[in-house]
Amino acid sequence: MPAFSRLCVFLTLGAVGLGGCAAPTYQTFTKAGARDATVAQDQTACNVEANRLFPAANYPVTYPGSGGFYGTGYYGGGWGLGVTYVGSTDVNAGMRNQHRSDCMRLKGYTPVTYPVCTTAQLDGRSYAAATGAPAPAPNICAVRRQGAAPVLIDLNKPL
Amino acid sequence: MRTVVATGLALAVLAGCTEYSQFYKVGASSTQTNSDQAHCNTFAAQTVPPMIITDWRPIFDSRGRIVGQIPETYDVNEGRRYSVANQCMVDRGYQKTTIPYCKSEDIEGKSYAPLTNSPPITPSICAIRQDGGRKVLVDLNKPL
Repeated sequence: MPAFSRLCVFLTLGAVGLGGCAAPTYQTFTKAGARDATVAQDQTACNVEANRLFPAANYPVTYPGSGGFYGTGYYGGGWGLGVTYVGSTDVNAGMRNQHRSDCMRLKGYTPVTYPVCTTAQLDGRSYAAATGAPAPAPNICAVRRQGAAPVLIDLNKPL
Repeated sequence: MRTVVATGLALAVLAGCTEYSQFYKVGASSTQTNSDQAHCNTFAAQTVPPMIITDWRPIFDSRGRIVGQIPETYDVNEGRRYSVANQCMVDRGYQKTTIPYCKSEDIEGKSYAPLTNSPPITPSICAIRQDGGRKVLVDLNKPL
């Protein structure tokens, strides 16, 4: 296969792979009567504790490829083209996430998962952020923001 | 010879269904065990850095002749890193311990409280798999 065609296939596969990375749900925690600021404060405390108890441990991961073009693929956080790919994985990540969740449960919270709003759902309209943690329902979804935590909105209540 | 190897492998696979192995220290909470494991993982990552090398693996044809080569990249320190992490856990007082999974007939229709703080392992202690792959230990002699 010519080099240019190979590059095109690689980029297309890359776009598909990256598309698969975007999490379609947003998980947060809820507790009756807890204010948003209190929830955020407790989450931060749990994050700090989890990061202290479970520091990063990045181990390289190698994927023996079949060599040549057919070794191309998306493996554990990166792309390999033609040769064996060497990636990296934080072997403590699972335990850290588990501890965050356990820590919040110990503080009396229940994990709740909301879907992320699609562009079609938002349809160019504006919404005010919902207060607290509304019960999951088909009209409640999360809007991602750059550099800030996602906000929940009620699709039945456009501004 | 092949039959012996195949039987050995089959037994090893079946053993994986009936028991599992983990680092265990009597009296340690699951949080402490996980935290110790995490610190040992970090220690191992820092003390045994990656050493990535690329070898050229020969490609043979049906007659056993070398007809080409393909690159194969790997971390020569991988095994040593895991050994260091395991030794670190041993130094912290943990032992690799095999714990059987509870048989369904033993736990059906009964409730057990998960054991905390790693009690001494006795024949009545077994593990139950939970959603997400977590395992909890229960004492069959102490139903709720």
